[in-house]
Amino acid sequence: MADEPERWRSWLRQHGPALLLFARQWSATPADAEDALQAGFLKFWTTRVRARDEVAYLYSCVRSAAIDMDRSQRRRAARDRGAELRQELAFEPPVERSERQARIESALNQLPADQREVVVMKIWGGLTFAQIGQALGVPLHTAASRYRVALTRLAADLAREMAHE
Amino acid sequence: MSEELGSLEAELARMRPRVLTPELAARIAAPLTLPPRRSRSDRLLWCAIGSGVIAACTIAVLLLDQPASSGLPSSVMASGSMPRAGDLTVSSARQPEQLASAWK
Repeated sequence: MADEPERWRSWLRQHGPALLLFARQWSATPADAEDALQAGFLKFWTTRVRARDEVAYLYSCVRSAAIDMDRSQRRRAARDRGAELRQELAFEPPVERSERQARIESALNQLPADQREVVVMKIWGGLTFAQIGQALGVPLHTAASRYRVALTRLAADLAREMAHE
Repeated sequence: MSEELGSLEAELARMRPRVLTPELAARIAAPLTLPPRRSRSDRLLWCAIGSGVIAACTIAVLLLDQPASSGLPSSVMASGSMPRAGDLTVSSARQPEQLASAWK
């Protein structure tokens, strides 16, 4: 197909940043997250005909790739060495990076993985709960419930930090 | 959802994830711009089709190559000694002495 390169570039432009953030949930380093995104996107593009929902399938492919990489011995060793690298900024810094944003990032990193991935998919990926459920292989209401719990927990963590100051 | 969670949601949405670096975009693009390779199952299918065509051609050549005969193969021709319709009526019509001489 003649417009094929334009199509996948458009997919990458639209979903790339959120997918990279999504892949970081399981990756010890930003480089690992990039590898996972590359592997997952390639798998998605070559097998997407079998997808019921392409966006959900794309997230599912990247998630599988990131989890597979994280499981490997090499990645485990890297994670042990550089656990603090996970805290590296995953967001574009605003002109003046606020303390508040730093707190939010930190609170996001404290969330359990199953809640954090739902927040990333919903807020930055723009997926519906149905798509999130499909990507994760859980019922829609489970995805919605994890999202609500995650936001409640985030709000509580942020409020606690504010109270401490 | 409460107002507090709604405002947190909006605050999160204002944070933009980092965009992909040009290097990463190029890495992702590299395998996608290669010409598509045939899958293993496709290759097997084409092998099977090719073998079938070769076998059909071989059979056709063998059949066409046989020398042309004047008639049908002898195996499908009726032999003279085989019984034919009406033989029984003819036999019954013979005189007993004719039958006796025929059986000698």
